[in-house]
Amino acid sequence: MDLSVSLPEFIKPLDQGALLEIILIVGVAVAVVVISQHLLPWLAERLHGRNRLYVLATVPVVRLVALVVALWLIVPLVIEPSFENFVALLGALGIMLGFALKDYVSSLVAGIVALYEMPYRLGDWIEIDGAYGEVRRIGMRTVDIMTPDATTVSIPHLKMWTSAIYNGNDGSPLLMCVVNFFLQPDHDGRYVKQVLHDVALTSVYVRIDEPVIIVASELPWGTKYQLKAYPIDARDQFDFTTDLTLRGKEQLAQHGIAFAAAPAIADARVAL
Amino acid sequence: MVRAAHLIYTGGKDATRCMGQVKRRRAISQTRHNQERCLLSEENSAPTTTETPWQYVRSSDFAAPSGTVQQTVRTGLTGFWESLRRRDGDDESVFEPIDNLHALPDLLLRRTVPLLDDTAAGNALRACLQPWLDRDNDEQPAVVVLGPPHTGGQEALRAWQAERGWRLIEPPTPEQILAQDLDWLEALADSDGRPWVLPALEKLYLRHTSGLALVRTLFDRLWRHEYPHGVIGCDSWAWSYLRYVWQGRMPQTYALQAFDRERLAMWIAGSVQGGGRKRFVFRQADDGAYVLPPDLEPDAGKTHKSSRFLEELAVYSHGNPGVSATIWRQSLQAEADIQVEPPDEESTAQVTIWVTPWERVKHPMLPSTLPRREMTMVLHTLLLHGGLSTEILPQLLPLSTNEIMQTMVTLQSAGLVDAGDDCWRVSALGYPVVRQVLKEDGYLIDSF
Repeated sequence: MDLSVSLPEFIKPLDQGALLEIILIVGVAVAVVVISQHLLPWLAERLHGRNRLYVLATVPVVRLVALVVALWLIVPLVIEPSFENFVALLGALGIMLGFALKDYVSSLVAGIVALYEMPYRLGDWIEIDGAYGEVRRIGMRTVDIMTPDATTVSIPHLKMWTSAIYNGNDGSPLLMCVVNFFLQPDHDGRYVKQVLHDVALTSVYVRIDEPVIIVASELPWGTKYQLKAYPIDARDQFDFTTDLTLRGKEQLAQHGIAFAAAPAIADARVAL
Repeated sequence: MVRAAHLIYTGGKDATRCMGQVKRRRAISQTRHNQERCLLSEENSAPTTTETPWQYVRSSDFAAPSGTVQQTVRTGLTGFWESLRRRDGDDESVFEPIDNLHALPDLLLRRTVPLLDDTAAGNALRACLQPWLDRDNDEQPAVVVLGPPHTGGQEALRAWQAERGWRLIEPPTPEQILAQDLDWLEALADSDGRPWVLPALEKLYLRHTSGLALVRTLFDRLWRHEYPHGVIGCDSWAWSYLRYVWQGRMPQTYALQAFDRERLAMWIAGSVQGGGRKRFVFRQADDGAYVLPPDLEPDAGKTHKSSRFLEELAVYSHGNPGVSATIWRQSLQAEADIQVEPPDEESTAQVTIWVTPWERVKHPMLPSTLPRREMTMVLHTLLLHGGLSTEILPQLLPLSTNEIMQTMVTLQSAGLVDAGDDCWRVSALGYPVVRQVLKEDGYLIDSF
């Protein structure tokens, strides 16, 4: 009785030469991926503005190209390159992955989809399921973002199928920042608007050739002003909003405009 | 400038020389065309001269020298390489020394480096503004003369003001600006209606929430015709910013036309003729190529190998004569035994001045010892205000006085800023680099 397990017919017996060739291809592909993942971000950090984002965007593309080329070279070494053989191979892989690695493969597929749909790119500022930060790495399975608190959050690409993805700059250096001011309702609104406009106009961080927008809305306990403007670099957004907040408060206080505090006091009483 | 006129129309046998002359004639023709446009557009035909490189045009007619594709690629690659290296410029001299050559003695520097000519610039300004002066000024109560840093725009305007005897309006103090002292504007009013010149609009505002009222009120009152007509000088960077501060109608603007290769050659050749009969020949230190166009060299008529130094210089400096002159000064070298005696009226000796090849000219770089954002925001603030004092800087920047001083000292060591009269300014050598860095980083830059 023959107990030896025979390989499927479409798989070629691997000789030493083919094995070495496969190892070499995998090694080169891994090297290209690893080098690109370190070299290109390093390069990008030495560039600024739009050029930085362009270089960062090439990282996942280089990885995908390396992967496809490696597979393209390896598959003919392993199987007889015929239509029937490919169908059989894909069928076997489909059953295996469908049962065992469904979520993992779904994330991998979503990662590939993300490369051409581009819901996020390296350097983008995104929010997924409440996590906000700059995209620092787009892996095969996950996207890594760095939050303002310097915490890295790994989010599976799988989230792309079910969650909303908020992208603040969408591949461009332009990222709108919003600063809220809550004022007591008894004031000259036009004057406040002019003051806030000048606060943005005189910020060292502002991208002045983009519009400065002020939106006012009346609330039961006061007036809410939203000062919206663009920083020169998206990475300056927190310095920018801090600058707008501090100087805005200073200017409004200098002009005798009182800030609304009623909701906070009410909340405190409720807590007590 | 009879000599220059003679040179333009001198015939030549050599093909290269002929081509050079054709180019120059084209440049002169373009100069005439621009001047005619400046004049005819104002329905006037005031006399003008074509022999001077100084020419004021409408700012929309400003044409910065453009480089070849090769120059652009080389500049880009060089800049990219330098950004990768991230070297600190502290320990480097601006230029590499060339074997057996030495820096030019002061006496020779004075005779071979052109100076900004306030009188010539003032004359050019007169030619350009004459049509506006000759007609009813109700439509344009004021015109603005824009000038990038180091082009001597303010000095030219002062020279023009002195010639015409108009009232000179000196800028307010920073304290007056921040106090929003609108009484200062009364200096512009005059019961006799005498016109005025405000040579430095950039000193009329501060990028501060309390620093914009004066300049806004000025524009508002100008268009209400509350003041006699006047001429305003303004730094080109400040003007870029003020276009966003004042959303209303802006006055007509004029600017000094860029110094391209032809204008630079004319300027330098005209300047070195000033002292005695000693003849200077400018040759490139590595291959002996002639830096000035052959027909501007004393031994015109011979076959020459021409250098592209001036073309590179014009493109790199964006046609800024002050920057070009500073780099020109740094690039001049001479042999150790060069004679530096005063101009001798009897001597017609030829003196060769060696010019550092453009490829070996080194430029200041942004240091890597401090955060880039801190340095760029300081440099941008300096440019927007045409220079600032140590006292006022902390009020305009989100940095402490110590951080600002540390940044300033670092930038000064790198050759990017100069300090003088308690005022920090971007240096002439550093200006092209700073402008490029600010452009790359997305800052608002000027149009020149």
